Amino acid sequence: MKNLRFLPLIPLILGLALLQFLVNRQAIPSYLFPAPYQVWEVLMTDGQIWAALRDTSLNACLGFLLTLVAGACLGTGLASSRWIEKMFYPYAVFFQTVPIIAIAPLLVIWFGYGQPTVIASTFIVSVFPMIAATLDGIRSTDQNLLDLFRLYRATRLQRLLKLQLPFALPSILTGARIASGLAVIGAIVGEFVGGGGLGGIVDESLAQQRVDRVFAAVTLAAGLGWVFFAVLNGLSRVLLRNWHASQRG
Amino acid sequence: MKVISFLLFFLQSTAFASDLELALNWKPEPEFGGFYLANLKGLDAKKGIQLKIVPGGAGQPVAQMLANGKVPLGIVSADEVLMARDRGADLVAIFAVYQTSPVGLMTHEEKGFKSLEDFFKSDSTLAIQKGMPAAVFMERKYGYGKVKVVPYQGGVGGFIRDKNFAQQCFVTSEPLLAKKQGAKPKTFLVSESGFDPYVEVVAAKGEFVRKNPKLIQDLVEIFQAGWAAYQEDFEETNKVMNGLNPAMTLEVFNESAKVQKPFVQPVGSKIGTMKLERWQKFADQLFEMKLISKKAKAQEAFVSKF
Repeated sequence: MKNLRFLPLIPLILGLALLQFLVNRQAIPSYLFPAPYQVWEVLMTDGQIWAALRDTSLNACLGFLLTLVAGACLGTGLASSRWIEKMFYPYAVFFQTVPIIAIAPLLVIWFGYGQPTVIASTFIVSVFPMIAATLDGIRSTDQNLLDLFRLYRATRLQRLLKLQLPFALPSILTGARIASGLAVIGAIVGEFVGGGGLGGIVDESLAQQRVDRVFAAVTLAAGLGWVFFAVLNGLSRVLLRNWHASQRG
Repeated sequence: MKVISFLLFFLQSTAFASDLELALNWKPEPEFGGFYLANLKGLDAKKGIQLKIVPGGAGQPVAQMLANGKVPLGIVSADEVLMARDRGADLVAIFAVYQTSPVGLMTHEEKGFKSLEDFFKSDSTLAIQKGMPAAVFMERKYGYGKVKVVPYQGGVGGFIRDKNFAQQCFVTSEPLLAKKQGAKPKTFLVSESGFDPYVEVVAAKGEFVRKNPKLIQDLVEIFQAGWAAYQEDFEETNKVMNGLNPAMTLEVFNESAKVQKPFVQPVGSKIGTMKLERWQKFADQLFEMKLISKKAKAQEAFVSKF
């Protein structure tokens, strides 16, 4: 069964080979869609693009950490009482629905050019799944266990730390996985207006009609999202392996 | 049967009356005045052509849209034509609006810069489209030094808010807007530093140009007549364009149309025409700047017979 891990590579390799073939045969003009080899060449020779990846990674990480902490805290806060949830949850939904592209230029006015804008954009795009997942996780705590804690006169804090949060952990980790992909998208959008990073490279390369470089930057951005996802998957496995059904077998 | 013949007739007639789209790379502004006038006054219809002007916006990839056959005609700049050709897309320019490039940098007069060289020694913030050939040219010529380069968003909001802010501009447009909002802009033309490509060029696919010589001839004549008329009397056309782009006041429209006159037709030149020496010069400049990978034969990039 171990060999199945490599199955996803088959469509990738076939897809790239087909694309290279079509571009070589000039069935697709390379100014509209670059050949995989052109993108590979850019990745091998363009130092700027790797420096940009470093910047984007840093900013996406910082924004994502902010999302993890703030999202988990806000989700827990909302779960603490129905009143608070009713009062503030609609505003949390606002973050989910806000069209980031439309407000991105305003972020520059509020936070200035560069890193602060990129981190803010990352946070806005990625925080909602984290809040919603934390809230749902805590809300779905087994009623019998809650009754048991009450029977033993556990304090509110004890109930939260020893029952509700552990119970919510799988849900919180799922939220974090969704947020991680969004964080990279948020960082790139932030860089379109704030400057720098892979977003800056895409912007610059479009102005020079360098689709190969655009695709190289997009490939790295997608790779970054994949790394985020893989790290969180690993973390889930470590945190949940001893007790949760999702990580058994 | 009648229904079918009616349908056939209908399809045929719509095919004949089909619009010829001209994609702009920006919103309706005086830089497109002559095209709008030609359309409004029916100069196109007189030659049996129905122009349909399609406004654009920031980042509109007109060159790629042309190359991919999404629009038959589009407004780009000469350097975009040369870059597209270098990447394998057969684009050809047929008409140039500006004989001298109005691309420049707008700074605050209070900063007292005397030249671009002077500006690039400062610690200003410069909003400019990175990668744009004019930007690459200035970076190579002057070096950015302590100047902080940030993305260009369009508009003049950042300029108005910050005295240390400078931005790319068309000297025929943004400085007028900034003045209206109380700023004192001082502009420097990039052309004066030695980079002066034709800007606002009508381009089409080479195949389209070669297959339709009569249509191209007609189009160039329509554009020339439209621009000649707009240079004389722009007010009525500006009113219509202002309706399409109310973000700019009619007053600024009219001022801009006045300011751009010498850029459209410097003394002794013919509207819309292009010269080989100039095309070859900025083709060579693009090659030097490594924006194109091989030396370009400029004579293939534009139609010179007009």
